[in-house]
Amino acid sequence: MPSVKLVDIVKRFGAITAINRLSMEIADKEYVCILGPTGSGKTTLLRLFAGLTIPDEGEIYIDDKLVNKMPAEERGAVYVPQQYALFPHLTVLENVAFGPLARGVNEEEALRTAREMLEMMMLGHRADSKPDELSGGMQQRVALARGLATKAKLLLLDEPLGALDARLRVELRYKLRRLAEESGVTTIHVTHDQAEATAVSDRIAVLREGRIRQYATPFHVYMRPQSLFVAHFVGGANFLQAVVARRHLEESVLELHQGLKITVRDTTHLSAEEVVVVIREDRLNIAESADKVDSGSYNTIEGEIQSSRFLGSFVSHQIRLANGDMVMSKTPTQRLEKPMPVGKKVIVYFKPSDALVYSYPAIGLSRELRVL
Amino acid sequence: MRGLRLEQGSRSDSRIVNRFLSILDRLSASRRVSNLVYAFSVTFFFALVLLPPMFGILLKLDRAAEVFRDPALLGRSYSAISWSFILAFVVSALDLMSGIPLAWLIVRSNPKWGSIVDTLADIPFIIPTVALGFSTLLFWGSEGVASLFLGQAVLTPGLALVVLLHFVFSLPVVVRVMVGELSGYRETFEIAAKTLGAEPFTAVRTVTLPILRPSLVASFLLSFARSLSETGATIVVAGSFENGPVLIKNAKDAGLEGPLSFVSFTLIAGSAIAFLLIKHFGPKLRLPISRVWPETEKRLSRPNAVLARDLASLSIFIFVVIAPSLFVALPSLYALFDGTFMEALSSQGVWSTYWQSMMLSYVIGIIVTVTNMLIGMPMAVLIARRRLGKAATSMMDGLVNIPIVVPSVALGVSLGSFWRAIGILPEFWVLTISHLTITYTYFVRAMSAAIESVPIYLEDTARTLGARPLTVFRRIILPLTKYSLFAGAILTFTRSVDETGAAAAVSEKLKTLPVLLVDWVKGTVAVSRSTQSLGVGILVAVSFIGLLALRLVIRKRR
Repeated sequence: MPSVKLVDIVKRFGAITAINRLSMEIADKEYVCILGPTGSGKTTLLRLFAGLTIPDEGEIYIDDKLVNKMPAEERGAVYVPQQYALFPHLTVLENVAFGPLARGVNEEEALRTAREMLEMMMLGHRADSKPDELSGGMQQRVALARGLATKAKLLLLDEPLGALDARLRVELRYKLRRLAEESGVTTIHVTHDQAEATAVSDRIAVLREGRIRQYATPFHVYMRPQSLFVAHFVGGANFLQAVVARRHLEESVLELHQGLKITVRDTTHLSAEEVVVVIREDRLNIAESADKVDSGSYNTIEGEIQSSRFLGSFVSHQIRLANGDMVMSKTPTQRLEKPMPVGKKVIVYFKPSDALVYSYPAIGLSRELRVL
Repeated sequence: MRGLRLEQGSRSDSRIVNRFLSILDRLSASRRVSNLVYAFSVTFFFALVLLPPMFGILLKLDRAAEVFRDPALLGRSYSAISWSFILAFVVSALDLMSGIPLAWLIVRSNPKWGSIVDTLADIPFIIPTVALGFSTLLFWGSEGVASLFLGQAVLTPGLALVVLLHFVFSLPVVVRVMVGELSGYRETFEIAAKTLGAEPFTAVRTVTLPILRPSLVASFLLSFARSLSETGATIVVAGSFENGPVLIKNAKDAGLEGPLSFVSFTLIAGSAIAFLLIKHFGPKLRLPISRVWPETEKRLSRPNAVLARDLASLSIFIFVVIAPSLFVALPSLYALFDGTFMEALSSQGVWSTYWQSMMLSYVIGIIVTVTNMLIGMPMAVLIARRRLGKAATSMMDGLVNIPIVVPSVALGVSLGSFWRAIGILPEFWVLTISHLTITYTYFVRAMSAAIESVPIYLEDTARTLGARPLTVFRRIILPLTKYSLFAGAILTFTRSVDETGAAAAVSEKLKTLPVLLVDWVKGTVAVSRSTQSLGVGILVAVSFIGLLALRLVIRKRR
């Protein structure tokens, strides 16, 4: 099984640079998710791995072998598009056997492999069906079986769960991961769904405008986002503008709008520097009164509930802080008896270590956070 | 495992085939080889389809200038050319007015009845135009149904009959395009307009028709080109009336090289310009959608108004289009029993030439179909998959249309001029190449549309699964487009067999069947009415078999 490496890849389409000096490495048997908004270059990147698009600059290595000019059919990198691309004129079995036959395996062996793969996917009983007779989930499994039947070194999945309904999507994402693990195949999975990416991948590459903005484990991407964009795109967060009022040895005091002060566990920014404070929604707690705030060292701010939404395992509240800033808080349902009513005065509190601090972006905050 | 087994055959002959395919498959992976195939296809297109008529007409330019020395000939030529364009414009407008309600009826009415009307609409399309001309002439003439009541011919050969005839053979084009578009049209737009308070008529006028504007322009263009190009049938019903193609045929028969060349050149240049103008300005044409007349449109939306519209379009369709098209069946049936049929079977008299012409038409048809399939396929792939890049593909896409835009008789004149100037080809091959030029577009258009409809991701996925380009083509593209392949082949074949204008312009000694039938009907070769009817009837019968095959193929596809 291969390791994959991209070095300084550039791909342009006319005046648009879809991939801009992108480098990344993927280890053998690793499961990597490429996460990014629409138009960030995710599919182009996948097609570059597959050999369906040729880079204008840079090198692509599979197992340390330069493959820039190697045609798609020789790379051993199977591409599974969002629509699954099951050949409509062939049966399920014929679809799965297509790869081995195209690679010159004799018919008997190709069919045996195809049947094994279908059994593994629990689809042996649908071998003679046509693709359009299957449900979306079944089609997805056939597409995977077809890819794996080729003994591919690299599996390239383009939004593989995108066409499924929400419940099936959650169910199948774990199956997908388990299958990749069992087959020992290196997998690159493109998605715009951050929950899906964090659930299945070893590492996530967050892509924006053809560049990788962060390439790390899901935990790191969520807990320690390298930029405001990553913090915004991966998981919900609150963004508050502030100025560094004082720097101490291990902490700084920041001044929010209207002189409201908070303490953060950050000393990387200079006094008087304009910054943006990021607090994850699930790290922002609310209490009905000051005496109900958890014990410990917290920043506390008075606020008023503007709206509340029950989301099953969480309750989401929108709160206007005393200085006029608006924030969102996600509280586990088990911690609340019922959603707070609109207009209720509350205390918002969070740990200094849960506030991440970034320099105020030169292009402006709204432009920095823009997804489209 | 049909479609997948080819390379695992156990018999020795299939092993040889598999080995051969395997070699071709490996070759197809080479960019150089695939470029060579595409280069061959493009060269063929330029060398045999596009450039010969262009050079041919340039060779005749000095003869065209002769017209300017004779004011009478010049006036006659201008008049014929003007009539060609006026006729095409008027007929195309009439086609849209009648074709849209009819297409609406087919798509939106009871599916069973809609399907019957839909099948009937193909009849004038599939009957060779020369037969259609003869049938229309008989229907409206002194032997027709109407004359039984009036005691005289309703219409005699001349302009009115030409207009009716052109309407008959070009209406199916509009119906076919609009039925296709309306079937694929998402009615939700119309429903949204209705829920916003628009009357059904208003919703159609202000929402549906503007959305379908590209198809309206395409229908108009196709109908325009068909009317401009038609020769054989027009000659049959023209009488003393002359449009461009009729003048060319008359000038050829009279040995008048000047008007022949002048009119051919002007028609080629004029039709190309008209085509470009309509294509460019048609989509920019603004439909009057900003004003609404609630009361009037409410009345037009009422069930009785809709019923009246449906009855009117059906009546026009049955009495003006279908009945005259099929009328030839009656005298043909009569000819079966009056001894003419036995004469035909025993190949007596003129029938010997008839069978020879039929054989010639079908042999040319087969050669042309097979050649176009082989040579046109790479061009279809080039266009559908934009292999030459966006700009060059778009240019090729436009150039491929030229043979159907330009009047075939004018094309025939220039092709004849070119190939005779080359001087090395026997008449049979000049005739065959002319048919090839005329029909090339039909196959390429049918296949490129079909290949375009196969999602590119199927090809991409097949390649990443390990299939080389030829395998992808054989096992994915071809099976998914095979019905279009058959339909394109049948269309090419029938179009070749039906071709009259180019064949008449090119032929000297050899006569294809439509050219021979024009001579029979016009009296150039004296034959009885019964012989004419049977001759035309046999051609129609064979064409109906073609229609049946086409319908079966399409039905299977659905």
